[in-house]
Amino acid sequence: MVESILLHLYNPIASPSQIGPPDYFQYMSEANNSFSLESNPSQEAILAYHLDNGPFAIIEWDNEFRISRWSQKAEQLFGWTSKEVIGLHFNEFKILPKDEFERIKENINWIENGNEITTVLENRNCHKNGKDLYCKWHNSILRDKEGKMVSIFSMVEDITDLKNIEENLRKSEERFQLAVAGSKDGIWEWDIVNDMAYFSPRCQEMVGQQFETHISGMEAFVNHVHPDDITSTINAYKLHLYERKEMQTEYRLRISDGSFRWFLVKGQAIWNQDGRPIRMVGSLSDIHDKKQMAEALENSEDKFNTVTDHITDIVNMIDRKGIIKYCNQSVKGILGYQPEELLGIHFLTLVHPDEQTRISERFLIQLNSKGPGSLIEFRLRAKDGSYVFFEGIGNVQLHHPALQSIIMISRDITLRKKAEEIIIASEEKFRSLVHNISDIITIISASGEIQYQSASARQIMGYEENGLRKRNIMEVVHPDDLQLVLSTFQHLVLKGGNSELLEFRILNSDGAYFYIEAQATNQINNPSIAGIVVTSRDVSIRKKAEAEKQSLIQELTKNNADLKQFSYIVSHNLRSPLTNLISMTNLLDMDTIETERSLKLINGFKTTTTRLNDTLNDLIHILLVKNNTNIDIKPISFESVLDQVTHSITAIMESSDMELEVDFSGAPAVNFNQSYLESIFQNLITNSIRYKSPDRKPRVQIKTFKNQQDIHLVFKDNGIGFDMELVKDKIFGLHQKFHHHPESRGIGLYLIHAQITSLGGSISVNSQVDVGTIFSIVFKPK
Amino acid sequence: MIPLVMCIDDDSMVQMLSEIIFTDHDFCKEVVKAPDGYTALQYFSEQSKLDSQDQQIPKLVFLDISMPISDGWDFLDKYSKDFPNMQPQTKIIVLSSAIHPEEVEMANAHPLVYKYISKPLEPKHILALKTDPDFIQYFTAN
Repeated sequence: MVESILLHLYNPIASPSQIGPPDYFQYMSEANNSFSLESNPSQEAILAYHLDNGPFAIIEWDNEFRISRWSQKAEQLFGWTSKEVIGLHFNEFKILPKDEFERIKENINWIENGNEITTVLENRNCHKNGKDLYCKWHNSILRDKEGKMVSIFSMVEDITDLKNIEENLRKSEERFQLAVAGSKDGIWEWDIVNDMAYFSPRCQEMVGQQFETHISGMEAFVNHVHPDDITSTINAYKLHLYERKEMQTEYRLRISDGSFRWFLVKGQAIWNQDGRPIRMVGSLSDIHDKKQMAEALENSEDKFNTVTDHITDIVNMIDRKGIIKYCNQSVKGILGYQPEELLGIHFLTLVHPDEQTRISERFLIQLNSKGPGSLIEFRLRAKDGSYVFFEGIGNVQLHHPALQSIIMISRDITLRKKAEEIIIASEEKFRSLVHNISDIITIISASGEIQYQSASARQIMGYEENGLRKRNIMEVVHPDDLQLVLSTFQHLVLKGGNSELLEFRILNSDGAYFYIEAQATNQINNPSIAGIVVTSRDVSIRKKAEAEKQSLIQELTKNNADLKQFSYIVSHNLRSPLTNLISMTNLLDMDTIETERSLKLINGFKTTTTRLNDTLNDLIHILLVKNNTNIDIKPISFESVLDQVTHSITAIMESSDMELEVDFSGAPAVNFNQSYLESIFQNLITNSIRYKSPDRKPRVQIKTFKNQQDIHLVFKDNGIGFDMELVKDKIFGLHQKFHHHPESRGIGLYLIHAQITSLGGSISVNSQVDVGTIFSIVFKPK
Repeated sequence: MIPLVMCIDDDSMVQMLSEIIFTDHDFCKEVVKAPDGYTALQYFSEQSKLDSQDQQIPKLVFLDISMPISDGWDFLDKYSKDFPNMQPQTKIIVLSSAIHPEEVEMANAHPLVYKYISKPLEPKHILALKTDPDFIQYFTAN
């Protein structure tokens, strides 16, 4: 049984139905074999045997409650013999005490006048000798057709012992209840056999109104145990129940608000003869607050150790004699000692010899004070013999019951000491820097009065060092720049921060002005400066250079404009006599020329005139491209432009039998100038025709594609090509011809190069002799 | 007359005019025309492969500076390097339309350049050459 409950304890969600009914009650009949029946017994004899030898006393009553049968067991039970009582009414002998009769009068009335055929009654009876007996009466009532009682058959069971136990129990229970009610602890009782648990009201109060009745299964209670404590709790019960170890355990129980509280449980079991536990009684006390206090104490100790061991400061406790009583782990990292090594030694032995007197005096003074003292600096000897700088503070807690010591907190300030040294050094450096740099450092008060000027002022401005001291800065600013300097200065004084870099003229000691560049910082709130710091430098040389550069640019711009103008004039002035020449050659009647020589010359004259005209037109065209800053750019379809170009040169294309392979699918259009694109296509195609290979049919492939934002155009032919080594970077130059083709004017590629680059694009070429030429053009997004 | 004169110029008009002037003034028997320095060098290269008695080396070269593919400077560089044995027999006159004084100076300073003549080539130039001590031999024999 206990195992099943314990099993259940392990598994709190199992349903109570898994606990089987107790198998404890086993009716052991004591067979009476001393009596043997004769060979052919009558039914009456058999019945009499059973009635006399059965476990019960048998009594039969007639319809007037007069005794008609009184078995041997009845004689033994009540003391009267059957002879004495047969025919008597129960009132006629003392078997039923008067008070009991009054109590069960109603039940007797039901037997007589009711319609039940069986009743069970428990009542007190009286032995012949006057002793009280407790009996359980199992009555069978025989009734006639009208329901009138004919006779009663009673089987009587002696329950006196049981009743006495109950009574004693009841009485002890009352005493127990009184005891329980008066206790601060809760009392519980566990009927292990029946798995019935009782929890005193105090238990209920402590745990909360969790249990609807005072009696419930132990597992209902166990369900409230904190999951982490279930195993230990069960172990404690087991050890007690099976190994009879003292049962005293602490566990957390869930109380009504859902939180857990610590309880101390003590218990004592009662075992039967077989050694099986049958009952357990115990107490339950709320130890939560105590437990928490203990935990808090533990935590705070932990915390203290954690804090002191992990802070970088060294924490020691020193007693009034100066002996170290405690030291945290930090000492290991800083001085190299194990904390234990220092316990028991006098702290002064660690202090630098030069400082021992001072520190020991301080210690003696502090002994008579209370609480924290003031910060002191000292050196302590590390394990390796070196000394480390510390800054420490002592807290006298000699009268504190838990501390009884001086708590010394010391911090390693080596780094700070070093930093201080660096600062001192850097200050010196700064001072020498200020003395030696060419920049002038000036400190001015908020009113503009010069308070300090670096040595460089003397060299640059000619004043003695601090020669301008006490003078107002505005006195030396050029009158034309005063407005600017004054407003900047006022703004800086009001708003703080840094000024912009200003250029203005300042008076030197010779009475001349020179340019300086200055920047000021408001350091009025910086106590070590309390002024406006102005860093300035002489920029008169730079100013001069700038002025020169400016005039050079102006000159160049003018030259450029003149040149442009000149080229316009040249082209224009050349154009008019040239047109005359063209007209003349056209008017010349060649038929009248007789000599071969003259004809040759006149023809040469005509050809030269035409070529001159072409060249001039090209130059004019270039001038327009180079100067046209305002050309129309819009999305243009490659396809449509190519169509226009091929249409305009149909004749040349047809005669050359050129094959054109076009793929504009990668980028069908480009943001460009229409006439430029026409020029590009026309120049490239006519070039390909002009320089076609005599060995193969001319073939041109044009393809466009997009690469990120750029549009690429690749133009590839299978012409005669050229030697890249010879051409190098000259191919897109003006009047660079690489063939002796009669129509080559060395201008086409120059022109398209100018057109593409003027719109931000680029063109490159690759060629191989007798293989072909590839032009790659990149159009940049506009 | 000079047996052989070479004209290196990409302008066919110049070639034609030069030839007319040469003819007018009985200046040379034959003219070799090259449209650029490269072609001219090829001619010298071919000649150098021949036996010396079969070689036709021009006694005088008229060299243009501004030409496609291989210009006058390029010709002078390669000629001085590749054909040192021909240099004593051949005089080179730069005939150029360049108007930059630096180019004229550069040409005059070049060790292989005999003379600089600014285009156009005129009869007076030819007449002067005919009385030049270095060429007079060709015009006095008969």
